[in-house]
Amino acid sequence: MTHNRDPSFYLNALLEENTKEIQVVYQRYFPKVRKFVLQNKGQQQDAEDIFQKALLQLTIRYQKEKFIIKSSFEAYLFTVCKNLWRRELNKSKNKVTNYEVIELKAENNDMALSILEQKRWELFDETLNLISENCQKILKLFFAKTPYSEMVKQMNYNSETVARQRVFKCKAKLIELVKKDTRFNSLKEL
Amino acid sequence: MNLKDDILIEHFLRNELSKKEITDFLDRLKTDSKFKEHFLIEKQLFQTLNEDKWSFIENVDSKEIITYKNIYDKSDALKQILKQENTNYQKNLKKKNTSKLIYFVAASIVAILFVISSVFNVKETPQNLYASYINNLDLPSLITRGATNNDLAKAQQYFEDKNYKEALPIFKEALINQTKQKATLYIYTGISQTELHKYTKAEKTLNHLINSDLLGSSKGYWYKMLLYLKMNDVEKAKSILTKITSDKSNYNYEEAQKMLQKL
Repeated sequence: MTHNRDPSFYLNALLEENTKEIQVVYQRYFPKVRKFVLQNKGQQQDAEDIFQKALLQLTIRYQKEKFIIKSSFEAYLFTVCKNLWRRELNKSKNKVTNYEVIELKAENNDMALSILEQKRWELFDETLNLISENCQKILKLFFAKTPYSEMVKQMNYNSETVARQRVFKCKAKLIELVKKDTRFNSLKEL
Repeated sequence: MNLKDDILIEHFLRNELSKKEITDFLDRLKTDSKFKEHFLIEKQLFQTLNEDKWSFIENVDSKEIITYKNIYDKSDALKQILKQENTNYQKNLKKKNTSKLIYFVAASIVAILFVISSVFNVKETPQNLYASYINNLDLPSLITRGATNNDLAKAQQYFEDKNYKEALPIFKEALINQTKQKATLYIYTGISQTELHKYTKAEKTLNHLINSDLLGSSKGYWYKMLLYLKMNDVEKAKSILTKITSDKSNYNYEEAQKMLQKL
């Protein structure tokens, strides 16, 4: 019964600093996040940090705008954790490669940025789901850096040229829809 | 955006350009704003939708960032609460896991012992078996109503106090002088001798009982078997047990069967 609670129930519990429900959130959702982090080059401490940051992010965002979680609370929280962990992993990558170095900003500023990045992820992810299934499939292969020769095989195309053209068209469609979305304006980079 | 530029951006994002090409590419970004705009969105898509990457916000002029930052700045209490709740959860989990572990280890030990005992059929040691019977003796009392022999009562007391040294001479004397309860006297004597490690004498005493035509002479087998256990002579003990189990009328016939399995 309580498993299928409206996602806003937990958002409100966080906002009200309801420690009893926060414990419930930990008991139900922390183990999966921990498993994910440990399987992806992380340690227990990383999992704990990420989970806390995610809960904090949800609360702060909910405090500013009463956003609606369209999926389940569990799925949403997991995605936020996953993205925060991707972010952490790429942070150190960026430091090492020195390619477009990310300044070490103050933590609160950094976390504010992570909210915007999460929102951008949501915009892109949702938009990707708006285009045709075939386009989704080929773009997923493209973004996963699948070689064109492999795309030809998987998608049953005649040649790599055909595959390239498909990618080009699908990407154009995706970009067009992203730009149309009102959310894009505040996320647009200069 | 044409296909050629799109492929160029793709090569850049996939690190497939030469040094010279990269320099040209970066130069073009500075001068061609349309190209730059397209590049930025391509890059964001590429980094966001590739599971291994992440698209960092680099240059967004957004009041939203400041608003969020301000809320973060004021959220120290919430941060503390979340930190504390994390600590509480992890602590409880550890406790739970520890007790689970203890339970698991205990269960494993029991299981292992069970397996070992069933696979290797670990037998009880003869000494333990002997002790378990000798400590639970249920011998008939030697004190009879109207008896005049106070010594025998004393001897029985010694026996019960495990003072076999004092008890034994009295039993031996009674065996010579008494006619009643002779079988029981043999047993008391035999056990006392066994306990005092006078094994040969004990064997002799019990053989006397076995070879007598006294009622309860078959009890001699049983106590002789215990004597052999005490002597750690399992083979002899077994052969006596086999003898006991050959005749249902023998004393402790059923107990002997059980004992045979234990040995």
